[in-house]
Amino acid sequence: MDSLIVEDLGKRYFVPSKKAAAAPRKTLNLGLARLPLPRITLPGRVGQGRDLWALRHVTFSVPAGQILGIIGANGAGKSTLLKIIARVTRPTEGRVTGVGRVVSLLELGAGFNPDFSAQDNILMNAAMHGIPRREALDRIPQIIEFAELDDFADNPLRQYSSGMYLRLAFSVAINMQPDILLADEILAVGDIAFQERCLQRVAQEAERGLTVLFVSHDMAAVARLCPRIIWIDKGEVMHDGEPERVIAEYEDAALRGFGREAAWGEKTGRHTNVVAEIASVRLLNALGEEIGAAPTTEDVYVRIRLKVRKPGAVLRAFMDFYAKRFLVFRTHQEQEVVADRRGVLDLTVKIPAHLLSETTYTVNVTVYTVLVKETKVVLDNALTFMAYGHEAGGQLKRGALSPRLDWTTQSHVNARKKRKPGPPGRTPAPWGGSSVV
Amino acid sequence: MWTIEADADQGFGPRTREVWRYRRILWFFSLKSLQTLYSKTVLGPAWILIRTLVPLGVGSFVFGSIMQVPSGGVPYFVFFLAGQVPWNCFDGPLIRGSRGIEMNRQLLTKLYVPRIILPLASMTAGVAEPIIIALVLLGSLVYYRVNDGVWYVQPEPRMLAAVASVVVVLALAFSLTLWTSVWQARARDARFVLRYVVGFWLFLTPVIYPLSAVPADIRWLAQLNPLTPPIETFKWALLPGMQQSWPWFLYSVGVTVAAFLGGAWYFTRSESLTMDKL
Repeated sequence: MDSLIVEDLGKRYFVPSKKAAAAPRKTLNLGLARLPLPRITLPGRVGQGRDLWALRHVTFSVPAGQILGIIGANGAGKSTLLKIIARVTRPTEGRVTGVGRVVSLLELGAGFNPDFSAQDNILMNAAMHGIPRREALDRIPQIIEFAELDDFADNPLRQYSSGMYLRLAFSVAINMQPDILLADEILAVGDIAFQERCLQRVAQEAERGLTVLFVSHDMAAVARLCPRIIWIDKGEVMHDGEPERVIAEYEDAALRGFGREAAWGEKTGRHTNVVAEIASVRLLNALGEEIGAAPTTEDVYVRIRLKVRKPGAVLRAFMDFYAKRFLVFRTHQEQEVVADRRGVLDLTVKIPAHLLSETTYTVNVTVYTVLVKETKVVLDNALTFMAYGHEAGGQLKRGALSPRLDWTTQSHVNARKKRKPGPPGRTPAPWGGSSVV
Repeated sequence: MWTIEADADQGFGPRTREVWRYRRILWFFSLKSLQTLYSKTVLGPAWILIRTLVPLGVGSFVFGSIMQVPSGGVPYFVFFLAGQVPWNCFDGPLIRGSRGIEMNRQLLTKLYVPRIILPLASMTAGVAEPIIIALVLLGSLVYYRVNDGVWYVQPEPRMLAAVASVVVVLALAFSLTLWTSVWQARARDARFVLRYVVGFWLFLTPVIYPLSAVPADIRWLAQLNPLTPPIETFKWALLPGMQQSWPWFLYSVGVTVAAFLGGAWYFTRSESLTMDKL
């Protein structure tokens, strides 16, 4: 059953031109235009400006219990969409139909009073969501517990650290028992540990039927949490579907927009010399198709396409993988290769499955070319891609790399004798030695 | 199951029910508006007292002792206070209620609450003053009892009319905030204009002088002012030797109802646009 249906939704804002904005007309009109009064015409240009559709023809529906990710560049209309669903602003056209209580986290701590204690703020928030007082009183202990406020629960919020503020805000929202949760960049702040707990809690509530609209720029979080993503650009839905595909499309477009252009735009001539030129650096799957994001559970390939200008050059490629501006690893060709003819030469490296972590990598490429003397071609930021996985919970993939390594389990017979025998399925192997998992 | 549509008006019934469902935010926003009276001050809540009492002293000295305004048989101070109580039920609540939307801009752009509650809640800060003035009035009566040996106010059934007057004045103030709070959210200019208007309004209303001091031939003009009848009624209910007229009182009630209905219509009508302009 659909928990939220958005039909042909549109929101138009009027953006006054600079001249009109400076004129006093707008302020003196005071919205009386609809009244049958003689129009007061004042100096200043009337109605100058343009209409801006922040959202147009947006249609989608969300089944109960789904976590829908919404991505898009700044100003694409994501927040406007959430604001309409939260009833903060009215749509210009179209319709939203939903079932149950909507709780919005459009801004952490909106609707908090810094002079009130946590308890009073909880009650106030409950009132703002139209929740009965008794129901709210019942939830206070669990809200305070999840927020880890400890001894601060009775202090005014003014004295809270930003982390505590954040924890309280999230805890209040999720414990209001929403049927639909609107979350706009809720995880942009706060420490990693709490972010993880939030994501887990959201996933857990989703299993119970909570529908979530999750707006974020954190592709890793979106990809991990959401089985479906909508990409909004300039107020319209560009893509709606599986996370890897939508994110790939989005990042591709984003990179086309600035990333690659900027890299190529650096016309320092570094990526080209008399011997060779780096024509492209691409991420591919096992079938040789170009992809925008790397599933950590599959092998992926990075291909450097070179234009060789001088046959007979000896080449060796290096790739540096960065995550969050730190060099994670460098890989290079063990054997030098000889470009025996002019034309296109592909140098491809395989990144095995279960090596990358769920983060965004940037690849710098260097190719040493030896003809008479050693030269090199360099392309920084040649490729940016995200790696994503599907393992449950967010604890599994951490760090800049997350390789799959062999683990050994060994149980000792003596130690186990003292215990009662477990259920049949769990009896240790009869040989009592080690077993490799 | 709920629906959000471009131009669907909920209608009066559902809106009222919604306000009822959210009624408890009235309390929290009222507290917040009270805090604005003294937050970040050294003296704290004492400011409420100071701000109320100093103008009382100055006003009664200027009008009573210097200008010798007639007060119909009671000490001018008592007369002055009896006018100040209902007037302050209008002045403060109107000025503060008008800020209701603008003050909560931060919240309103992030969270939905029935906005019509906000001007009402913000009026609360303005109610503190008339309450204090009423207490001062009570104190002054005790003072004159001890000094002059007279109770200038006798407990009588007609004192109930004072309560009715206060209700009418507060209702009129709220009805007007439904207009002014929208204007003020759109343009701060409204705030300055409002201050002027209310400042003049005070002198056009028989607050510091009795209605009987107005020349008889233009008295009807003063009574057209919807504040005149309830304020006169308030004084009549408390003090001896005053006059009031029930038909004019009903006229005020009528104006208030009209202002409320018009205000509710206007507020709802312009709500969506106002929110977009915050």
